[in-house]
Amino acid sequence: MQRQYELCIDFIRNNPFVGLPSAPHNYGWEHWLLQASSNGNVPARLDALTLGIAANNSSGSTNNTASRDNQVREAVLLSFGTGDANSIAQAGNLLKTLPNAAPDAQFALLLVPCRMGATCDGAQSTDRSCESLPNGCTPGWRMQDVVLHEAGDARFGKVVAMADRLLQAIKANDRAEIQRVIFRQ
Amino acid sequence: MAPSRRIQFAIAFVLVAGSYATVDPTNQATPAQVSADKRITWLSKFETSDNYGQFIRDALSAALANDSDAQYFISKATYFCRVATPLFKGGRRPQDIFENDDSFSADMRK
Repeated sequence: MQRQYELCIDFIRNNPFVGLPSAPHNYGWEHWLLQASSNGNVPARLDALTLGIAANNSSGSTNNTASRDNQVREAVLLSFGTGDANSIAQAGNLLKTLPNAAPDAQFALLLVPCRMGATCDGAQSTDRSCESLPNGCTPGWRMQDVVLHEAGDARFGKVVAMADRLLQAIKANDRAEIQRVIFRQ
Repeated sequence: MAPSRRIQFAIAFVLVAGSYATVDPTNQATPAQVSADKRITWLSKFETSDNYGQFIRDALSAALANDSDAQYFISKATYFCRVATPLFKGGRRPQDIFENDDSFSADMRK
């Protein structure tokens, strides 16, 4: 709590956006996220889609759903091109919302960043992140503990193999292979 | 915004914080690698900042010049201070406190 206070006290007392012209969302986080997304920032696009605040120009619910699925599909594939673990982990979070996502792909995408060199041995789960997992978790778990708990013993080996296959495809920039792995054929 | 959405945002934020990694199969400065390097620079400034207000002021000119990484991390700092952090007792949000500075000051004296 003290750390949070120290980080934000200046922000709270001295609005850093004072003096800027008026803007949609009043320079809140949504404004900056949409700005970054519209400027081609892949992590921002992934976050905006996850949060459901991406700009959508389609009309009609069916079109909106199809449009969103296409945006998600495109953003997920773009995440691999960035080569960064943050985007790929976030893509896994989004991928599970697509009707044709391979069943274990979201779990594999949590492991891929670990295979890419991200630090996954330390405690990766917190109270807050555990809240978002369907089966919950215990703060302090490693990433593979989270995946094992979510996927289950029977599927864990398959998830690991999928993660390894994905990593090879990412390194080779093999978009077709990536799609074969993460989408149901 | 529904609570579940906040949590989805938080999991991405929390799970990979400090775990940034990049892959460059060619070991050359590809456009993706250059972009990732720039992002890591902003990430590093964001993660090592001890003052998000100052971080935002430092990143603002780049953000206003359409640097999407500066915009992205300003979004994260703003989210943290306005939404994700129930700073004070009673679950009051920082923006509520900001809008009533007298009350905020009283809280600080307690």
